[in-house]
Amino acid sequence: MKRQLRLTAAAMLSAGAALALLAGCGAPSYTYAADSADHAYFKVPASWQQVSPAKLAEVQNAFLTNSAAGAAGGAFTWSRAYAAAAKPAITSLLTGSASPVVYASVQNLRDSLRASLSFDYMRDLLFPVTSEAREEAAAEGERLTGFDLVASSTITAPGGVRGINELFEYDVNGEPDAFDQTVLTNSDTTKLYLLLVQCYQGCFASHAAQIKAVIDSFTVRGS
Amino acid sequence: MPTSASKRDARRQRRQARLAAAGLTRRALVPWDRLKFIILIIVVWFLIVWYQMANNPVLGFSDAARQQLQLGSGAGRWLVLLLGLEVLRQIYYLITEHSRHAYRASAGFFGRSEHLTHRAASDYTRFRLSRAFKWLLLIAVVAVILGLVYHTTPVNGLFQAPATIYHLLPDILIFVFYMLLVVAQFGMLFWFLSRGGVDVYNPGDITTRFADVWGQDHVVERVQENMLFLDDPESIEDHGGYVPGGILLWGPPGTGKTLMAEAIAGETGKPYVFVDPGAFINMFFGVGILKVKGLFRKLRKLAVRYGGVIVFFDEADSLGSRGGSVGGQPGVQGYNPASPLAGCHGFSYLSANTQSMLLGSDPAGADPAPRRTGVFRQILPAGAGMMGGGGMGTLQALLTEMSGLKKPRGFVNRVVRRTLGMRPKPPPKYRMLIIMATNMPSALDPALLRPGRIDRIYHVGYPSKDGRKRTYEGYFAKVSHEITPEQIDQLATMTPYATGATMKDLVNESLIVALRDGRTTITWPDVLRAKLTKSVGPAEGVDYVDRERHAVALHEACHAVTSYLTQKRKQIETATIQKGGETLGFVKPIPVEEQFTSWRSEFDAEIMVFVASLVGEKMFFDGDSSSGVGSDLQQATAISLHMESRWGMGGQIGSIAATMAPQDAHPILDGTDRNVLETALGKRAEARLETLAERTRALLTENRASVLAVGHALETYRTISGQDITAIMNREQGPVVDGRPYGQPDFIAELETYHLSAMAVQSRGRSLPLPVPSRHVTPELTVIPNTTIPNTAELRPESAD
Repeated sequence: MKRQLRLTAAAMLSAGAALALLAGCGAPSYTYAADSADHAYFKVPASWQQVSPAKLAEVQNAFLTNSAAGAAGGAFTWSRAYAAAAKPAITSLLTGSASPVVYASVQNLRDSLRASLSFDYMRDLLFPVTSEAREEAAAEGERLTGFDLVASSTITAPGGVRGINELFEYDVNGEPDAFDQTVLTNSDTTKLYLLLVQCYQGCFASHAAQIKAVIDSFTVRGS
Repeated sequence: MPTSASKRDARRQRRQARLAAAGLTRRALVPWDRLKFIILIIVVWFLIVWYQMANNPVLGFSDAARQQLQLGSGAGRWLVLLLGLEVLRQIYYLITEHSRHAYRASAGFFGRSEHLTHRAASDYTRFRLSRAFKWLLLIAVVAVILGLVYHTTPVNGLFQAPATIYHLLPDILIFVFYMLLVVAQFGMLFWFLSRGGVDVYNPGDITTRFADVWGQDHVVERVQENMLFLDDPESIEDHGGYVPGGILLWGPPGTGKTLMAEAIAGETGKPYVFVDPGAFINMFFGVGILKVKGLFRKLRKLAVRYGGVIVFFDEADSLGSRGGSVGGQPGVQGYNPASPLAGCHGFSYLSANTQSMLLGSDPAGADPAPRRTGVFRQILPAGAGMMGGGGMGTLQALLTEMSGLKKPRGFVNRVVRRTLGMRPKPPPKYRMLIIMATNMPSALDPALLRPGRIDRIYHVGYPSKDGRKRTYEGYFAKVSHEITPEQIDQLATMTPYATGATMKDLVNESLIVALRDGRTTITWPDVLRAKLTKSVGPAEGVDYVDRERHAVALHEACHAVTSYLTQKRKQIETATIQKGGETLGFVKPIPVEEQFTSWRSEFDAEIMVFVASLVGEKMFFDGDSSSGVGSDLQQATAISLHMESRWGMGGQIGSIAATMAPQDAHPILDGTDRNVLETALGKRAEARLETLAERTRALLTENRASVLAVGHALETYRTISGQDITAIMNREQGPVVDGRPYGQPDFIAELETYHLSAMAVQSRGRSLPLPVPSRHVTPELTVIPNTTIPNTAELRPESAD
């Protein structure tokens, strides 16, 4: 009886130790970003660095306020950015980055937009992607060149979450820049979720596996 | 076969156990004690990992586990730290279990630190510090949990919690309301159940006065003394005494205990609280306690308001006992109709004193009034184990309340004042007079009767003759009557053990008899008829065959004549041949006055009265006799044996009572001592019986005519009073029976002839050839209401051939 108890105890200790060893082999392989309030989650490789909130706010003010994203709603309720490079420049956070950069945000949708929100609106959230938007941009004098739509799909997730995923390229600084943009909204169309991963074409290809893991991990839990 | 390694292990364990036993090493922990905290920490750690995974759908187990092992972040790091400490502790234990030096060093270190802390702070300070530390630890744990819940720092979590509670307040209130509703259901139920059973009479409601209590003057005097103290408590309190707060009135039923309590209330002008005997019989546990507490709350209020209160517990024996009975208190042991001795003539010839002695009970408490049979008079609630029904904590609550009147009371008084550093105010003097009445003091709990609860115990016994006279006068004064003072005196003499209740009943029954005759004024014959009705009771409605009726009449006549001639301190109350429940008839002599001792001459006379039936039957029926003498002989033998063996009235002084064990055993009565009659003692008792039987035979032979006369009267009237027997014996006119014809020799001769014919038939088993002689008698008088007394025509045999 005693022997049995000892064996059990030894077994439990061994199991605990094994788990501890298994878990403690190293640091976690990914960094997990979570917005529990809005139920948005994604992960990035542990080696990627988080962009400071101050820098992120600067970027949002400088670049996003004039875009469709800026018009979509009020303040960003949550945002995170991670870069593979140690100190990414502010200018390379959304375009023209030599190493992968991921930007994610959650914002409230304006009431006027809730009824008219479309997948095309989502596609053109940051850059003109649809032909109409590109033409309109050209007419307005935008000098964006080298557009190439690599992949386009719509997403329907459990809990009423739906949206789009676009992989497209624009030439930035004379070099093709790849953008993977995922835009989602929740079942009652009150929130807009954005995940953008971008870097130059060569970088994108070379980091394809890591980028895919980031994009695949992006999850919005429906209600 | 054990291996050498296992042998080594065993040797090591034994050595370790030896060292531990000698106090040189730490006693080895059992594996569970060694591992329990480690297991607990691991389990909690897994729970945290699981919680993190549940909160983040993209987080896998591996990364979640790694996160919780990161010492730089994550809630699990504390657990890892704790796990490390626990492992270190166990390693330390393990070392001190095996190493004497390490154990000694650790004991020295901790001993010193313990000594230092003892010097630094007192035990109470250490206790307070420890308590403060525990509170802080608890707050810290709660803060950490709140921090996790609110996704903020523990300190912020602690400050956010009240806001959350505030927001949840409506829900909390609804929940509390529902809970209170459930509790209130029970509360209301118990509140309703704890109502009732207590009646409060305000001063002036009660008009009873001591003048209404007749025949209990000695008790009234003592009770009045109590009342003086209640009305003027300072008269005793100023001298260092205290007001006696409790009185127990005990005595036979109907002797005026309740009336006396009412009179006390009426005389003092204090509120009077009457507690029903059934007030503490409850269905549920706790209701009785609530009732007691509610009762005393009310009593205290009344006592403060009116300067005193009187509470009366009627039938206090219903409060029950916790098992023990009152030691040393005289029990109210009395005549028991179910007794084996209540046979044909049963106990009726014996004084109450002798009855008690024969039953082995205390003679001081002798009481011829029928005692209530059965365990007690109440239905016990299901599940109540204590006899007496006032159980389930009720009695204990009562005891506490009765002795707890001097404690400070009230929440504000006891708690608030003390919290503010003030001493609680002592309670006002609650002046309560608790009166309890019972006819079974032995059923009371001894704790109830201790001084301080019940200070005085008064016996409310049977009224004295003067008391009875006064009582009869009182009750007769309320009705129209023609009873003379001499007759009232005679009635008081005739009813020695009458109580107030029975006297009131007798007067009422007399009125009924008068009303039945179409009169509204009670006459002396009405009283006598009513008395006969009360003493004999209703007839069974069956009749004897003629020859048996004659035999029973002679049987009872022998008892009656012998009693009349030998028992000078008694007078016959009733003689009857009316068949009752257990008797064919009886003669009931009663003492003229209450007496507490019996003498040898009286016992001799009693034995003669008993054996008169056998002697008479043999004498009148030519040596033949019936089985109806069985119980007579049993009683005669019992008395004779007691005289020889216990009372020193025979040839022996020593008492066998001293050798009996247990004390209450009755070998003669319960039949365990079968051989007693074969012993020298038994032979002496038998010799006494024979001597007395011989004396009885001579007496009956000498008074043969009187026996025939009484027998004839009994056969004619079925039931006659003692005064009628006196009239027959003296050949004069009685209240009912005219005894004068029995003085005529030819009528006696006629009775002899009648008897001879009956005796002849007795042996042949046929009906009597002759009718009952009926000269000069007035048998049309119906003695017993609703009972048909056949007239002489009916007594005649249907076939005279």
